[in-house]
Amino acid sequence: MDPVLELSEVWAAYPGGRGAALRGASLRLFLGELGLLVGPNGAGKTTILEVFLGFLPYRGGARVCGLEVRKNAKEVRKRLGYMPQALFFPPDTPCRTLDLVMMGRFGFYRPWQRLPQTEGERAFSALASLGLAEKADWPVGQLSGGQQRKALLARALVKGAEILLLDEPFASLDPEARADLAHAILRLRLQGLTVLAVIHEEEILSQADRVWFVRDGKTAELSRPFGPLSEIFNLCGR
Amino acid sequence: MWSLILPSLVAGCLAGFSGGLLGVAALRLRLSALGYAMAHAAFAGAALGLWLGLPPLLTAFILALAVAALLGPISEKTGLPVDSILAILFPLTMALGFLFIALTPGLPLTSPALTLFWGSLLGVGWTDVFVLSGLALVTTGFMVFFRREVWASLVERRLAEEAGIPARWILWALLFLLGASVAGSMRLVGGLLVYVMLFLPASSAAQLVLDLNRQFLLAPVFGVITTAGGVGLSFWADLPVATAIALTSCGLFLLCWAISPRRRIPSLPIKGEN
Repeated sequence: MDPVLELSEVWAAYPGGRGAALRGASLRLFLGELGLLVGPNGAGKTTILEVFLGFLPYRGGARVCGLEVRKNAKEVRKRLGYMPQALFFPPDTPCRTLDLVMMGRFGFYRPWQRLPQTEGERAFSALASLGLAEKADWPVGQLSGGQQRKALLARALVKGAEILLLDEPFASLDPEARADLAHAILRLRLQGLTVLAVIHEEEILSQADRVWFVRDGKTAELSRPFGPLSEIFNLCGR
Repeated sequence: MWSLILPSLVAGCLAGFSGGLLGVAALRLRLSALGYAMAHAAFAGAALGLWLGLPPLLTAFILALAVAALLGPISEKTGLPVDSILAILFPLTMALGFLFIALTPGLPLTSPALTLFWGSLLGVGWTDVFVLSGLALVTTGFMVFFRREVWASLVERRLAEEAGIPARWILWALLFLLGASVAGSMRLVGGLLVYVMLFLPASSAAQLVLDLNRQFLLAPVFGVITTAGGVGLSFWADLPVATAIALTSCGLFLLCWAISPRRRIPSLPIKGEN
């Protein structure tokens, strides 16, 4: 079986940045698996997600469902659902929750094509499946942090994404919201979605199929069992 | 009387419409320095025209548009925010303007380059109306045709790009249209107050409606009302036209602020917007 996400010896740098953010990173994640990236801040975890999204130029091989990202960025992005790091919408964000979710479908239509009504219904169903039906008409900035994260998950679902890239999904959430979001993510994985997430929390660590420790732009795949993060840092961070 | 005021009134309404529409984008992108930078680019262009013996308004327009067209790519290449680039261009273009004036012998204070700073009610002709009509048409066409792309790029650029929308090109096009709008409005209201036409109608609309699409509908209407009101006030009370437009725009903003549902119930969603 071929991996759905694959990095082979990838080097990448931010424009104007000092040095390479990735220095030969490699990983392979297979269909329906939950993969996690752990490691210290600035190690290159977010950069790995940005390489898959085609946001950064790179050397080496980065493939999504067998497609090389650099040559097929548009096609690749249709298969990916993305939750950016530290994205919280302020209260005055001029956007309804339902519209944010529907945005995931915009790339499937040309500017002159009307968005059919079924797209609205599909977006509402995705919100309802994550328990946010009654918040559909709320301005997205007036949802709680956890609800905003779930709205972004709904957006990825509506897009028909096969793979979720989640960048610190649990950051700044209280324990109850973290548990709720972890439950939603694990449910999506059971439905067949492949998930690659950057985490600093324990929530879904024990459920992971693969875990990579990222440091200085390099990846090291850990062997089971995936112990508490403090233990991983003690072992790998030395 | 009408033959004197009519070109200014029509030009004002057109400039107010385009300014209101694009102002919503400028407000969302937090480009408060855009008006200043464009105004001074146009000023430098006009001064360059006078020095070289070319039509000053033409060179003003060209330089303002050139700055607008280069803003996005310069920001991308240098990794600096657009607002920072504007803050650098502002003193540079002002210095160039003064340099060209210094190089032009015997330049009077009433020269076209200097009136670009404070505008002129009677200086507006049907040629300006023609230019502003074209600008309003292009702006409206762009905003309607790319309505979903513009909306998504303004709400969250990274999510828009991930959704397959060319957000970078959309934002560069918006910057260019903003520059063109500022340059086109400069003869009427002048560089010192041109940002009033961009930011106040959009800010007033944002006081009443939270949804971006509704702001796009309301702000051009406010732009037309305040500019037409300003031109009328200028003629009636013998005030400088830019001052009059600034007063009507600020008056409308205060009214919208006073009745804003966001001010009354800041922690609750706005009823009736769903």
